[in-house]
Amino acid sequence: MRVCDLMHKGVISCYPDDTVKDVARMMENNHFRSVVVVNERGEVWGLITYREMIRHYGENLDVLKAGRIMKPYRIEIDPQWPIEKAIEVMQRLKYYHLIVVDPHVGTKWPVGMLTSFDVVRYMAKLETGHYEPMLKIRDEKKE
Amino acid sequence: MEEHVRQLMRRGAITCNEETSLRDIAQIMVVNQVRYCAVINSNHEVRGLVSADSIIDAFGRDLDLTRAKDILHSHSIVTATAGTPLREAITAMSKNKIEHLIVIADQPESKAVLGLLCAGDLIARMAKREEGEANP
Repeated sequence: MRVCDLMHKGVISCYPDDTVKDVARMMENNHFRSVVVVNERGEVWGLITYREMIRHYGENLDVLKAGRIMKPYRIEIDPQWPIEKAIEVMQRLKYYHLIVVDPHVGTKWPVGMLTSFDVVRYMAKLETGHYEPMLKIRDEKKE
Repeated sequence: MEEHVRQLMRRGAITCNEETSLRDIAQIMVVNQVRYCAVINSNHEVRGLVSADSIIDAFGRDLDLTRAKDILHSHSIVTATAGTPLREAITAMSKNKIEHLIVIADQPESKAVLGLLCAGDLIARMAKREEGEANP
């Protein structure tokens, strides 16, 4: 099993100048738990997850910029890595959202996201695949 | 007006036993589409909370032999009551780096789970706030 088999393809991204209010709306509308902050060239710059967001509950979100609250993000995950290697990175760095970047182009363009819940889903399916039909129905609905 | 946990919490929670294996917990999470599982003992008292993140930390161990009680951390037993001010609850969540806070009954003798405060509900509230309303 490789990272690209489990990850979400595509990411939700914003620019450092976007307001936190917009980021909150993006998360809410897309049901995503994390938003990737990219610079003007589309490279990975930082990450905003629920943890960064809740600290600013009650503040004026229209003046707060995404670049101020984001967590800088420097690691690169290759989509071809075995899943165990990615989990090791999660365990070691305590990063539970990994941004997967395209290794073939020079710039760090995000191609997908691997979260802790994707790994849990993988672990739950290990045994018999008993819940597999249920998951498939849900995936079809999503599309 | 000060907001309290009561206004944003969800009633009810997905729970499991202290003896539930890691594999079962993973399946409970996937089937219910949640990223947490509250751990309770036989007296329905809360013992802690297992999140998707704490399952990652336990990856590599035997899924069937590892029990819920083995992967509970001290920070996973942070709780609040329905009357706790929201600001206080959020501080506790960010200090302990958790996204779900268990809400228990407001009686010293009872530690039954009433519900849960999720970071996602806080974000939804932040997204819906109108301008000018942002500074309570």
